[in-house]
Parts: sequence; C-alpha cells; structure tokens
Amino acid sequence: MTESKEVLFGLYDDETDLLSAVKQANNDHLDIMDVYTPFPVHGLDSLLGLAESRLHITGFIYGAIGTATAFLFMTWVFTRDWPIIFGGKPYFSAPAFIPITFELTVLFACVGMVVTFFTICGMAPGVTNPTLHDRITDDKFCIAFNTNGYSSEEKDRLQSFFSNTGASHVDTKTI
Amino acid sequence: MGRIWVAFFIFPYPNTRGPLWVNFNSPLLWDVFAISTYFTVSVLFWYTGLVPDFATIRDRAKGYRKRFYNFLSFGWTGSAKHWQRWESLCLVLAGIATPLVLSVHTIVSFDFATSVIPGWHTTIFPPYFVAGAIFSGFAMVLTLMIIARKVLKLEEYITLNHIESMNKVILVTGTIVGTAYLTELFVAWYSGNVYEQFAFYNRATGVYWWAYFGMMFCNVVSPQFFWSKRIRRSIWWTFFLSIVINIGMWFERFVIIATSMARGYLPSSWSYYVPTWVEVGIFLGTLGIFFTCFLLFTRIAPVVAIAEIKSILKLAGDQYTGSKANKNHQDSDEAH
Repeated sequence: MTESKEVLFGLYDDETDLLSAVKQANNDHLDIMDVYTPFPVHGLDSLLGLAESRLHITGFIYGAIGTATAFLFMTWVFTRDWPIIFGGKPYFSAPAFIPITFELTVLFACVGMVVTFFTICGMAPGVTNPTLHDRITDDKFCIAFNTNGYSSEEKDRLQSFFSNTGASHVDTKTI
Repeated sequence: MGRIWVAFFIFPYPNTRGPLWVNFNSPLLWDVFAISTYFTVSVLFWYTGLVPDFATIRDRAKGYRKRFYNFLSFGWTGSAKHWQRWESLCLVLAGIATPLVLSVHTIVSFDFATSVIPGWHTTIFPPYFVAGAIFSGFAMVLTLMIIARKVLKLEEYITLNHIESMNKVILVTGTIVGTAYLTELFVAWYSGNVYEQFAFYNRATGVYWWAYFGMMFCNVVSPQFFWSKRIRRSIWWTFFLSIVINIGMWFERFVIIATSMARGYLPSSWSYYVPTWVEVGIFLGTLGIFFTCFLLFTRIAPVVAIAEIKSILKLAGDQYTGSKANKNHQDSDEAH
C-alpha cells in the first residue's frame, strides 16, 4: 500500500520543549513529517499549520440527514402507506413526530461523526498503525522527519536540530 | 415488556405483516428511539474517550494483553492531526449529549404525563424527571466513586473539591425535585380536580404512606444537609447521604407507579401490590448486572481519563502549582 518510510525522530520530555522545537523547525524550514504526543497539546495545531478539522461540518450534515429521514419516513407511513386515526388526531401530526425526529438527528450525527473520525484517521478494531516509540503514549513528545532519499548532510542537520532543541532521545525507525 | 421474545417488534423494520409499522405518535415509541439513541451515543462517546488510553496500556503491555489492547485501541498513534480531530469530536459529542439528556428524560416522563391517570397527568413531569435524573445520577456516581477512589488510590486525582462540587449539584437538583413535589401538591389542590386531589391525599395517607414519607425524607430533607460545608466536604456523610438519595429515588419511582396504579379510576382494580420473588429477583438481577459490568470495567480499563489528566497537569497539578511546585523547569523523576 504505502512505501516504507525511513523516519528520524526525537523525543522531548515536556510540551513546552516540544513547542519551542516545532517553532525552531519552522524557522529552519525543516519539513516535519508528524508530531506525536501523549495528550493534545494546545498551540501545536497552528504551529504545524494544520487546517481546522471539518468533522463538525460532517456532523451537521449527518444530523440533517437524520432529521429528514425521520420526519419524511413518519409522514410517508402515516399519510400514504397505512394511515390510521389515533385518538381523533390528524394523519399528519407534526408535533407528535418531533421527539423521534430529534432523537434520530442526534443518533445519525453521533454515529456518523464517530465512524467518519475513525475512518479518516485510518483506525478500526484490530488495526495496527506503526508507532515510533512506546513512551509516546506515556510521557514523551515526538517530532518525526521522513528521511527517505535524504543525504547524510541533511540527516546531520536534523541531528543537530534535535540536540540544539533539547531532545532527550533521538533514533531512526523504518515504518 | 409483555412478550419479550418478540421485543424487536418495537422497531420499525420492513416486515411481511402489511408491512405493519409501529405507532410513531405514541410516547412509548418515542421512548424506544430516545433510549436507543441515549445508549448508542453514550457508548460511542465513552469508547472514543477510551481509545487513547487503551493505546497507552497497549504500549506498556506484553503478550496476550498487548494483543487485546491493540485490538481495542484501533491503531491509535498520538498523531497531532488525530488529536485535533479527537478533540473536535469529543466537543461535539459532549455538546450533543447534553440536550440528549434533557430530551430523553423528558420523553420518559411523557410515558406518564401523556396519560390520564391522576398523579401522572401533569405538566411538571418533564422538568421533574430531568432534575431527578441528574439528582440520582450524581448520587449514584458518588456512591461508586467514593469506594473506587479509595480502593484504587486515586485520592490525588478525584479530590475533595470534586466531591464538594458534586454535592453542590445534588443540593441544587434535589431542591428542584423537592419544589416539584410541592408544586404537584399545590396544583392538585388548586386545580379543584377531585381525582387529582384524592391521588395525592392517598399518597400521603393511604396504604403506601410509608413509601411517600420515605421518598419525602430521602429526597427533600437529606440533600438539604449539603448546605453545610463541613458535611459537603465529609466523605462519610457524602457516602451515607448518596445512598439515602438512591433509596429515595427508588421510593419516588415506586410512589409514582405503585400508588397511582393501586387507586386508579377503576375501583374494581384497587388492590395492594406486593412483589413476588420473581420481581425481587429481577431487581437484584439489575444490581447484579450493573456491578458485574462496572467491576469488569475497573479491571480492564482506566477509571480515570489518563490523557485528559495529563493535559491539565500544568494547569492544576500540585507539582506545578501547589506548595511543592517545582519552579525551575526540570525533568523530574518524581512524576513517575
């Protein structure tokens, strides 16, 4: 599927060190492959130039689909398919349809968003994505560079970047 | 549920009986959708929050445990983009789940309120049930949490401040519930409706008076103890009162259902309900299934959201802000 990547990564002990290292990498025009952290670090997204997630927009769309599905389905059932008079109420009783419409809006929005989230992140039950170091999900912060096709000078440049910015551990891995 | 073996009849699915659809106008059916949605959204939100923590355990585990948590963590890596989406997702789920609580408990209350039974047919029910749900929910969480934090040694993470804040919420919602009880009584009298008036007179003085006074004492009187800061910040008092409130909420549901049914519009149906061993057994079974699931959870999953605690450590952790604050930044080994 994807070709194997040679990754040079450095681990930092603190998120403030990580943030200053990312700023330094931006100043030096280094091409960061990805940053891995044990928890979401605020301020990191703008430093990395990550576009805002559009997940909430998809949530709204799924919710709108839920609203339409619920309301139109109930209307069709009780006006076209099998109209029944319940307690003298009209066939199209919009107020009575509201609770189910609301619930299905919420259900579609939530299920849709969660499934979309896992899909676009490439996650599913049993999927194993390659991880660089076991302590990334513990207490270390990682900046990773894809060094496929890099010359030894460029790799040395990255090594000195890591030592200048206070990385506590530097290593390479092929993923 | 009468015929449990055809329980799936409550869902609208294409069938060969017409196709016969369910009655979308009925609160009993609104309930089906509301509770199914509540359950699904809660499970999804709960699981989404657990995924990064399962990854943390995966990376520390070995052997079959590593494979188990690898399966559960879905391949989480901690990538910045994934965290960004995760935070966005959790924010929206939290924002949607809150009106869901309101709507679900309102719809559950409609099962009673849209009927004609005296004591049930009252517009106070939606806010009464919502407040009651939050009231009893906090009490139940406190009962479990006080034991869990002691056994699992989490006193530094689930602090007395958290417990005090929860007690304040219990005080507020308990007062709302108490106000709802008084509103019911007042409106029954003010309405001039003899059946409604009888329903409440019967609750207080009829054959089930003991349940009514149990409810009033446990739900109205006991949360008022939390006005006292000393009691709010006392673990023993909190634990004792949270159990009293759980019992009180059980009485409330018993009072609503059993007393109104025992003295309804049809005098030939009047009787004194006594549970059989089957019903007592089902009740104990509900406690059993709950504790089984809860204890299994505490065995295999983190009871505290690890990644979230880490993210607020700098803002709130003693090491950074308390008297033991390490003012010069150092890589401290005491953190482990």
